[in-house]
Amino acid sequence: MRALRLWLYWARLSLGREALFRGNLLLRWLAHGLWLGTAWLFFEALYAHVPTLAGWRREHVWLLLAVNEGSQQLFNMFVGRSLAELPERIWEGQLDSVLTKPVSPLFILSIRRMQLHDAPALGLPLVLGWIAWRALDISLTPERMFGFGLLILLGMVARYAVTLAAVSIGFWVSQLYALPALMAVLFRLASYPESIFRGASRAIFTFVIPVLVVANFPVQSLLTASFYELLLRGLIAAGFWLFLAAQLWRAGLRRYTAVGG
Amino acid sequence: MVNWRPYRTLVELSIRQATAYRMNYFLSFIVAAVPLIALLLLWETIYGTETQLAGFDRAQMLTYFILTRWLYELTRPTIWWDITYEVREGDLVFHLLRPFPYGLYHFALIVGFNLPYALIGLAVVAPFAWIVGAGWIWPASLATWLAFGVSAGLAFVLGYAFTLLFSLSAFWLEENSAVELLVHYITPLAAGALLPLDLLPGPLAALLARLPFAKLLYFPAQVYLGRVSGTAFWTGLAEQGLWLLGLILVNTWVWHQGLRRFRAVGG
Repeated sequence: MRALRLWLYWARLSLGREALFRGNLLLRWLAHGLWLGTAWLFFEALYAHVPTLAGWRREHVWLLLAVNEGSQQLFNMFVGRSLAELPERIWEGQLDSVLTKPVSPLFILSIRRMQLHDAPALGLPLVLGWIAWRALDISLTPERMFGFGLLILLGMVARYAVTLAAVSIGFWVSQLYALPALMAVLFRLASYPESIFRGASRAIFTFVIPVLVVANFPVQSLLTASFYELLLRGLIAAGFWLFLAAQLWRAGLRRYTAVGG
Repeated sequence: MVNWRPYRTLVELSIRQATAYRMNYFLSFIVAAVPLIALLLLWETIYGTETQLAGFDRAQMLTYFILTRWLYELTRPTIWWDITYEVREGDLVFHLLRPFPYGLYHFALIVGFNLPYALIGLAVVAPFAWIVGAGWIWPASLATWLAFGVSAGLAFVLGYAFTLLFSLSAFWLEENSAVELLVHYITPLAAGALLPLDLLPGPLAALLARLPFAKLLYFPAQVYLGRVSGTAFWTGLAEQGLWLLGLILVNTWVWHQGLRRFRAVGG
């Protein structure tokens, strides 16, 4: 209950803060639209020259783009920005005030810079996903919907765990300004069809850096019948990263010494 | 007579600053390398069934992407947060008292920041070039090397002119992170980092080829690959120079307009 109250408080704060910069907000929505537009154009340009990409038709890729962009937006709306700012808070010794509070510090630090104002930017991926779904004529049974939702959730957990593990390095190394950019380019790979990753690269981008879990797995659960195999691979990857992230976070907290004034 | 000594000192200072945090430096090379991995996998898949796409064979396409990835890190326009910070916090006032132009001051810092990056960036590019193997394309002659050098140099200055323009938006926008997002999302497509412009639909490719962004990556890469030479090269170079001149004029105007709005109230 306390966690929910806190969450609502930070959500209101985030909306209020961004309302002060309305011009910037409109530009942000435009930028998100442009990003999806350029990614779509990139694949359309390729499909003008080739009929399929390693077995993926253009409608499959539309669905993949929609799912990846949608999950990226959701991640950023709720926890992305807060996690990206975490290393700087560590270097500047700003964790003290959070650590003394009777709530999980990780919870507060994960939600304190929510970007709920970006919710309208979810519209475009939803429209693209709907167009792809109509074009592919996928029948949405309750089991399939449940499986899709579960894999989306698993993808979000994997994204959170990888990002948390990465930002926790901030306890040991300072001035890692390239970290958010690294996370962004890594998860952008999730927009590429899994079938272009062959041999070792497929295993690497599933388990070592689980970018394929994020969008490819949910989309494949709609297109093929291999849900349980996808779930198993996703659980292994996300579980491993969650464990690693938790260990790094705890070890980092033990090491943390505030020097702020 | 311009006194270059302060600028040289600034460049040296910036090099030291940029290389002070080695882990961050190392990470920024991974940031540059990761998209290349995906692009190479994608193009290897495509060229498994095709021999040519829009006049590019496998070797040309892979060389194009590896080269533009390296160039992109050097020439891409962005928000230079030091400028934004100085405008917003009022620290700009100290620079106004200094005896050299503000734009050149930050240009020297960016040169210093990018110089080691350009050199060590080659170490990131080299393994990818090795993967391309015997198909890797080298410029056909010394003249092509020179032409590429000139166009890449101009692209670097042009990229900075854009960076300055976007950063000066801080005079009007209290929060300009969205400007960076916009630039960050538009530039790869418009400059030809996402795809060579030849692969885009005809009218869009023709439009983008006329815009200055294409002169940041697409044009130098075309010169390197020998796809642009003779009159086309000189025309492209002249366009690059004209865009640069135009942007310098715009930046000067924006700078003066911005200064009229600027108020330093610090104590």
